[in-house]
Amino acid sequence: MDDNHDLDSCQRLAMCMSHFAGRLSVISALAIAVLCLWSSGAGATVGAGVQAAPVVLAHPAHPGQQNVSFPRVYVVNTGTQTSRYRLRVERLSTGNQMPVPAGWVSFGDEGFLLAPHQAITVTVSLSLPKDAKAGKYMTDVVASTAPLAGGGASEGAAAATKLEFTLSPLSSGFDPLWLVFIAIALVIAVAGVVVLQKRRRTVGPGLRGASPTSPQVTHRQLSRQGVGR
Amino acid sequence: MQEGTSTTPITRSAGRARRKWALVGPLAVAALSYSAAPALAATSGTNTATLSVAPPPVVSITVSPTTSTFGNCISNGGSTTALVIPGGICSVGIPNGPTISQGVTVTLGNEQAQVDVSGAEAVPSDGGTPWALGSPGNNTFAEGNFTPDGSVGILPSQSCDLALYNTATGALPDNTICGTAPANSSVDEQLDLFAPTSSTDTSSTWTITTTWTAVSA
Repeated sequence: MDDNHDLDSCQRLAMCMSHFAGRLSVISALAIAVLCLWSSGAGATVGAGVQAAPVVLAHPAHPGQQNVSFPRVYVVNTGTQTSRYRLRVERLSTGNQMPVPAGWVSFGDEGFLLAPHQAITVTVSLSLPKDAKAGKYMTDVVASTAPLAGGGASEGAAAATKLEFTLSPLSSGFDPLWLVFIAIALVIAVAGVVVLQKRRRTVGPGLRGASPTSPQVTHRQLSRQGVGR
Repeated sequence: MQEGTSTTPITRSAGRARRKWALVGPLAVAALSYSAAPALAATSGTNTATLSVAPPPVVSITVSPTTSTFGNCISNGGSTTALVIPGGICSVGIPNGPTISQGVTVTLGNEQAQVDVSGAEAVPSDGGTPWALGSPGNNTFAEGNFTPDGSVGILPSQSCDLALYNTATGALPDNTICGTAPANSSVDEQLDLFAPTSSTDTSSTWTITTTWTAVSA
């Protein structure tokens, strides 16, 4: 494995040398060679970082909701070599919140390359089954380096931050705006009843004074007043 | 009646005139405003300012070297050049007084965090039957990490790195309660590999991946 590592370092050195040799003096090229050796030698590190602040859904989600967006999650390569990263959810933190099944959470990009100190923000979305239980949920977003092949011990780095959301028992199709519409409809209905009652009171005495034979008075109105009984 | 009829047309025409001015007036003002607008724009300028926003606080970890070789092998009390099956043990790093030399250096970033460690199956170079990580058995090997302040068996699932925690916090070697390590902790660890009792695959080169995870506190 050390052989492979040394070969890799030598290849990088050769690339560095060929890139600069045609343009710079021998002394400069040697200085660059030293720098190349220093940057690609045994001091190489693999690293991973994610935002320390939890990824939190601002509003409660509802069972059956699909593709609910979390704020984007920040991932950074804290190592000195380019690495491939994978994102996943796995409960690592302790707490009373319910665990989140991995299938509920998806990422805009689950695997990507990052150069040293390069960062990326990735979209996170939540899709819930209709029978999901209401309550508070928590899991961790884990960004880990992909393992290197080649024999021997391969060291990996990963970083995890919490992902939290609340699931309210309302059905997915219910919009709180409906409460406003229902209230307005009730007010209109009550107002309508009141107006109708007032009209009846206004019309009532005239009917009582009308002749039973008057053509304007219907049989039904007469019946209401007990005329002819 | 005649007066009324005679006065009515005059009133109508006056109303029309007023309405006309009421329409023309705002239109004229609008036209003037429109014609004045380019003149105003000509005197204005654009300023493009660049703002650098600091990245968010990050929980992070770095591990070095990225690859290493299991060496310092022993079997039946004697040193060997390679892992002996069964019963052999090989290591990355060697104890050197209160520290580990040539081991794996694990360093936390600027935020405190719990450091978990996990292992994976050993993969042979020919892509054949891997060794599972567990207690030594048929096609099953064991792995552990070690510092003079503590040690822990490495599992396929994440478990708190007690060796790192005890060293980083100054806890006694017999401490078994693991938790959050301080920011910027840096610990050298030794990895130990315990051979399976038997192996189906006869490859001479295997890859064993160990991952350290910083979990935000």
